[in-house]
Amino acid sequence: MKTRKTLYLGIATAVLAALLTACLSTQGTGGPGANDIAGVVTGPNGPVFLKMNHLAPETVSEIERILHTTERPSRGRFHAGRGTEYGEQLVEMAVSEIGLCSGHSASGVWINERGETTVPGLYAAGDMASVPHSYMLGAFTYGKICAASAIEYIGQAGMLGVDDGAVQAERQRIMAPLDRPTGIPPHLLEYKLRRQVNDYLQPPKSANRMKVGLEYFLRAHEELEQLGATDPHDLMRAAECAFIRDCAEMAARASLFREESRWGLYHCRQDYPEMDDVNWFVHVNLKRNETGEMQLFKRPVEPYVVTLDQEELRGYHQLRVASTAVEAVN
Amino acid sequence: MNPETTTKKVVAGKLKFETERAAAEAARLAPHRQTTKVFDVPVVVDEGKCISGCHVCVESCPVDCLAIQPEHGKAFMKFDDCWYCLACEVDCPTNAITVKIPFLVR
Repeated sequence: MKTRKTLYLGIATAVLAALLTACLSTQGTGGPGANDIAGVVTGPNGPVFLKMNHLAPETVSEIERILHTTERPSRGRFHAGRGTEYGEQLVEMAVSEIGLCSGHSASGVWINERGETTVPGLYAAGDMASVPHSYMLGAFTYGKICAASAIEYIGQAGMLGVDDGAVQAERQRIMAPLDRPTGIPPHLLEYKLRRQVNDYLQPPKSANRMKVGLEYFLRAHEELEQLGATDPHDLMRAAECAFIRDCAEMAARASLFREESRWGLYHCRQDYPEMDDVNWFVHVNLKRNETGEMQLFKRPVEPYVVTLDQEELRGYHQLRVASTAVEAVN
Repeated sequence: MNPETTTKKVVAGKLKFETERAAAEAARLAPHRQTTKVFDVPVVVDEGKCISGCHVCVESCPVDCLAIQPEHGKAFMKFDDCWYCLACEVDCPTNAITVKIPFLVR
């Protein structure tokens, strides 16, 4: 059931993500410029519209069929309610809130080509694993790969004993909010966490803002201890709050660590506006160290399986180049 | 330097609290009570059509916001978590459910 929720979110942001990463050039000043989507949306010529009235009717109906069924079925009802016909009117676009983790960002659980995480016997598939923007196709493909790897692993692995103490401790941790019926309602903490993410981690990013955010995410540990729940639904939401907090801390730390700008607006650092392939053509990973704290490290990018034409890379490298420089190249 | 000893300032509610920090702590620990008013429940169930004992919509909902009223077995939106995905409306065998687009974005 949760998968469906994730998928909806995933595809809903895919269109925008594509727009943002494939966007035009910017001024190279580390902030949204007059020439990129984010700059145009907030600039004097904003907002930005999706134009479909030049498309063949069968193309428009195919777009509607996909967007209004697999993507978000209420989208058709939403547009119809406003009297917007894809084939006739322009559709307003906006920059959505940032993808905090996983497929809607440029991050995820680290896996190898067999779907294995760094924990033996644990696998991750889909856009929550380290294949951002793979969405459903990635989920299906890596689901199959993970299943094959897991079957192989189960064949060799012996049975593990159950640590009753660990089970008891985990049960206590999960159920704790039920002992605090007048505690903080989970939807409030979730709202607060997400608001802090939007206020302090939203690109364009700066170390000053992200450090303030990080300070709150650490303080939120105390607030998690005060969560209250009176039914299984809120107990679930309380558990989700802890995951959201973890993701927020990871996002803040990883974004602070990567002292360059990359991927258009995604990792646009005002204090490090240039892309730096010499130091940062790497993956940034987090792990838990011996004292339980998050530790950052670089992991090299493996050679591409498919050789890329330099001409194809040109558009990517011009993502954050001043418009005058682009004109000079052209 | 301890700010509480060096800055003796007026504390709101000074009859109860020595310091602003003690007042903040007491305020923080006061119990939470929800008064949020849900003014436009998006999942509307036609109880005349809803089948007692059926829970297809409850199972369909990806955010688990629907439940069954124990008194007569009809479905209702229990938690304000609806994503307007229409799964309940599409799956309901008697077309008893209508999902409204929230007024604020209509």
